[in-house]
Amino acid sequence: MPRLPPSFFWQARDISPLAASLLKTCRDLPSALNELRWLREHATAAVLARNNEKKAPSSASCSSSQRHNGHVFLQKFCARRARGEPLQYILGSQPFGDLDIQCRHGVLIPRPETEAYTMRLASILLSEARNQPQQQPPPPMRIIDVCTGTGCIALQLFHALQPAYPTLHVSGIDISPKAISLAHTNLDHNNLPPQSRQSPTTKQTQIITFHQADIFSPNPFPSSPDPSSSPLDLLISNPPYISQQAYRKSTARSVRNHEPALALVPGPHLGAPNQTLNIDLATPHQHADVFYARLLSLAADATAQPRRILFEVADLAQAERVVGLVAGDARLRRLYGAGVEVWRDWPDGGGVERVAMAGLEVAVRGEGHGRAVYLCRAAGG
Amino acid sequence: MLKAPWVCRSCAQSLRRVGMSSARSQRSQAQLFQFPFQSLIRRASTAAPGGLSPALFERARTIAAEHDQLSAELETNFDTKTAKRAGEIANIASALRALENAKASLDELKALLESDDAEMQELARDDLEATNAELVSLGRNLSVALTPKHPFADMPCLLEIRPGPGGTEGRFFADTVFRMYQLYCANKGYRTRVVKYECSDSDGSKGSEGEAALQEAVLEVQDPGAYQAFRGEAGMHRVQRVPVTEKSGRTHTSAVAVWVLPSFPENDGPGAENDFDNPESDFYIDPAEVRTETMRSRGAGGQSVNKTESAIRLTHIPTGTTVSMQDSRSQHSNRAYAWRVLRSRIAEQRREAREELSRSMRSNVLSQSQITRGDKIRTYNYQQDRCTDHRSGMDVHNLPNVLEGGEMLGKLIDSVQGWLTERDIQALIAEQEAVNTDGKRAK
Repeated sequence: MPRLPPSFFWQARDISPLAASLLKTCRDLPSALNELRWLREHATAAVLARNNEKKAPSSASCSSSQRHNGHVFLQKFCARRARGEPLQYILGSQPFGDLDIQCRHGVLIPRPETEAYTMRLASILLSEARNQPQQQPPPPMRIIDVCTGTGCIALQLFHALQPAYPTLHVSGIDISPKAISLAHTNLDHNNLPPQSRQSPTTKQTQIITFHQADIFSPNPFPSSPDPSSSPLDLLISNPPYISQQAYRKSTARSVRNHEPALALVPGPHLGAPNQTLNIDLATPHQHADVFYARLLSLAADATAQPRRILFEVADLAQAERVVGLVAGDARLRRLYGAGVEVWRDWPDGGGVERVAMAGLEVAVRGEGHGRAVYLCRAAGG
Repeated sequence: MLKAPWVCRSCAQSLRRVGMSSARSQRSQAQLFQFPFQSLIRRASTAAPGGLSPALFERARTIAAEHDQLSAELETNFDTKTAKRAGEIANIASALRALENAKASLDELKALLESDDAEMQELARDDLEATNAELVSLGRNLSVALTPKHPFADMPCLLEIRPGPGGTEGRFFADTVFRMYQLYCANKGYRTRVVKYECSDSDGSKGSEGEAALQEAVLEVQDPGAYQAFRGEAGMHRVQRVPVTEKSGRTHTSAVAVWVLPSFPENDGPGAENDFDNPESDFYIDPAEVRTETMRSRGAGGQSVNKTESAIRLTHIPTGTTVSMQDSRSQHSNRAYAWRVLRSRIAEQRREAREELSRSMRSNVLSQSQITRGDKIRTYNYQQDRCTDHRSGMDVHNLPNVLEGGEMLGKLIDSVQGWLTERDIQALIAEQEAVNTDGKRAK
């Protein structure tokens, strides 16, 4: 990390000594001041919550001790943040789309890039429901979110699609029991009823569930609650995708020290040749891409074949490798070859470029780093 | 005869000369010493009933005739467009009908006065006064019905509060004004949302009442019709007091700018009549004309970093309007709010440009009573415990109650509403008279 000029610290200290302490982690003054403001709001809220629990008898003595306590809280929060602890773990939450997602140690914090592509995907699915011919109800929608973590993607999609899709099944899968319990907390926290608007006559149900499962085990996907309903409509995943080397070199220190490596780096045991992993893709792949290979081989299976697939990736190079996996497998190429897109960090801005990747024509959308690979099954295919 | 309390001798003489010349100029002389809206009543009382200008009365007659014709049409074949127009002008027609009924009963009473029966005369005299008063109020109803509704009147609004030049003192007062409107909305039961609340960097410094040094705040009042309720609040609010920082006890004057912008109601989806995706709408902005600037994380992004920067700045390139937003931790909601504020600002600019154009085409009474952005509209004086509105001329005491958004502020706001209505009526008369003279000239 480059050294910060001392003038930054002088400026920050003029405003507040706490801002100067935050500067070590935030690296620039405006973001240090913003974080200080959010931490202060959180400290005030924490004091109020504690006083409500204690039910302080006299309000006059309360206000001075309250201010004092608020400052003590704030100092503690700032000290934690200065040591590099993620702001979201201190505040306990992160806004994601229209939801407020709770964050806890041991589960990856939702990133703004993830939010951006989730919102775009939701708007695509919504406009599809709206463009249905008149008097025809939108088709049932079944979504699986693999490596769901806090549950943010599954919950946001469920929340956004609820008004448009009367029949909606969303399931989130994660290997970590911590993540599954946090996802359930988030489900309650955002008042998304697990089962809403169930009418016995039309069999319309909206369900969101979270399961603990290892996607490298055989048959990891939960079976469809209604066997007669459609196959999978969307397979979405933000799997661990950082290579061992990049984790050591280019991953931010705060992320390495505080966020779970389980959610960031594919374990070294995965995809090793001595294990039977049901990966039967023809193309060889790098170790960082092992989750994509596994998910694509599951998707190619005749019972799944989701209409849409979206994977978050680290950069354009990894996106190209994932496109290569699709192009290298005959079944996948036939299913998805015509509808491959790569979305950058902010897919709604910027333009669309047409690029040839691994022998396929790919639309690269938006601005920023390459962030997601979006596969769409050809109509009728 | 004269409403003015004192007139100098030379003026009085010149007035007398004018006054002798003709009855027509006598009227203009009377006007000279009255408030404009009183002149409206005086002038009209000669020609049309209910203190209405003849020009307006004529206009009301034309519209009522149109209404009758439309309702006849609707009986035979229904058409949504015709029904809508008929609905819009129905209140004018009914106000005119009420006025004409009152006029008829007045004529009857006058006839009774001349009758021989003493008892009847007595009764008629009793009723006459009440009917006259009714006539005046009905006339006012008609002129209010005739004034065109403000195009944004039914919308929610955004109140933007920004300190004027003048350092920390102005910023503290900006915070006071912000709280005043917040409390006023709470008292009135309006739903509000703080869209933006940005304090200046100098952390820690607080005013005497614990107010923060505000740099810019945006308060959204979400009830429909809030724009109409608050549109009189736009302008410079001036404060006169001894600041906390002042050592020698001098009174300082600083100013806070309040802008009222129409806020677009939550989009009802495509196909709704007021859709901001409709290029005809004032709120339409071509996304290609907006430059978005965000804090972009350097390096890999995604899982390998965890940046908390969520600030966003939108620039509307053709007008140079910028909106920056950093309140929320989510860039997504900062962006949504920034777009909302940008749409409102652009819509207000477009409407102002249109009004400017129509004003320049007819230079009339309007241009004199127009409050432009730089004019002070209200003064809050702490030493005298007084708040004055410079447009309606209303003075209220009990400043703490005003700043708490209490009934005193309500009084001020109502007085401004009255002033705005009078101004609209006057503009309407001026316009109608201009149309009439144009018509005569054409003949």
